[in-house]
Amino acid sequence: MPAARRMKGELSEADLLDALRRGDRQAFAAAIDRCGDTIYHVAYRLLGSREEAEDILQETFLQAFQHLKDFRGEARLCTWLYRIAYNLALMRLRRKEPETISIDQPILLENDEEVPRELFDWCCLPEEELLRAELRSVLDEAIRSLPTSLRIVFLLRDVEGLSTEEVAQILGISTDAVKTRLHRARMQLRERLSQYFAGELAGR
Amino acid sequence: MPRSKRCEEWLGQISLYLDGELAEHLCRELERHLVECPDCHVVFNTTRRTIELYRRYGRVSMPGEARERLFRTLNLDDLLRDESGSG
Repeated sequence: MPAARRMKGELSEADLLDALRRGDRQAFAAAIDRCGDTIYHVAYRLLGSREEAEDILQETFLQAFQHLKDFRGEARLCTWLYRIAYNLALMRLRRKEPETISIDQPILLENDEEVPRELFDWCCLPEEELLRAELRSVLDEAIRSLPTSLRIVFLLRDVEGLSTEEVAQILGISTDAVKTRLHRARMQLRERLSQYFAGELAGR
Repeated sequence: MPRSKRCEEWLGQISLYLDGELAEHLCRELERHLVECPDCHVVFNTTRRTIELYRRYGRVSMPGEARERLFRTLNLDDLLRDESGSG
């Protein structure tokens, strides 16, 4: 078995970091395979294109590997990489859409946007029914409709499965803010999906 | 739409409940409310299902070609060949 693969997911965090600092090239490959998917996903969901997601993926690892000495090991290696990727993606987003609000600003709620309106009960329909309804594009569309500050929290917490604390570190916000934004994101997505499924599946 | 003040308050807690962060006695109260209130029950179930669907279908992974190009950019392409060559 090649060394790069042997390293994947098996090295402890400390060993991987030591190897990276020694300039061990197999450790670089292992870091890519450990953290690359989430970096790509974050960049893709923030920027909306595969080309730009790949740019961010490359920039993140180039920057990180050049500045390994700055990483003091206070967070997980992946957490540090996600933070770099997130900041790079956010900078690019602000260049593209200067009106994008700061992730740090409090979110103002308008017109009770979190009060559930659509109460069509689609929770227990068989998955084939939901899948037939072009589920993936519906999911993509709904998550794209979220404000950036909610979208990023939802995808890191619920889709990528990171802890509240880790997401707070990546975004540089408090754990309470992570929880609040996660709840708002879930409510807005639920509403979107419910409206869609009510239109597609109700009354059949 | 669930209208009562109580419903609003309970719906504000369902994320904490789903994440296992709601105090035990409040969990029991919320569960009682969900049994009694069909609207909140729908919101609760569809929220949980929303999260499940995204967990299962919402992830986008780094494509193989993007990974290859990244390895080349970082001059790691020999490791790429090494890996693909030996199955």
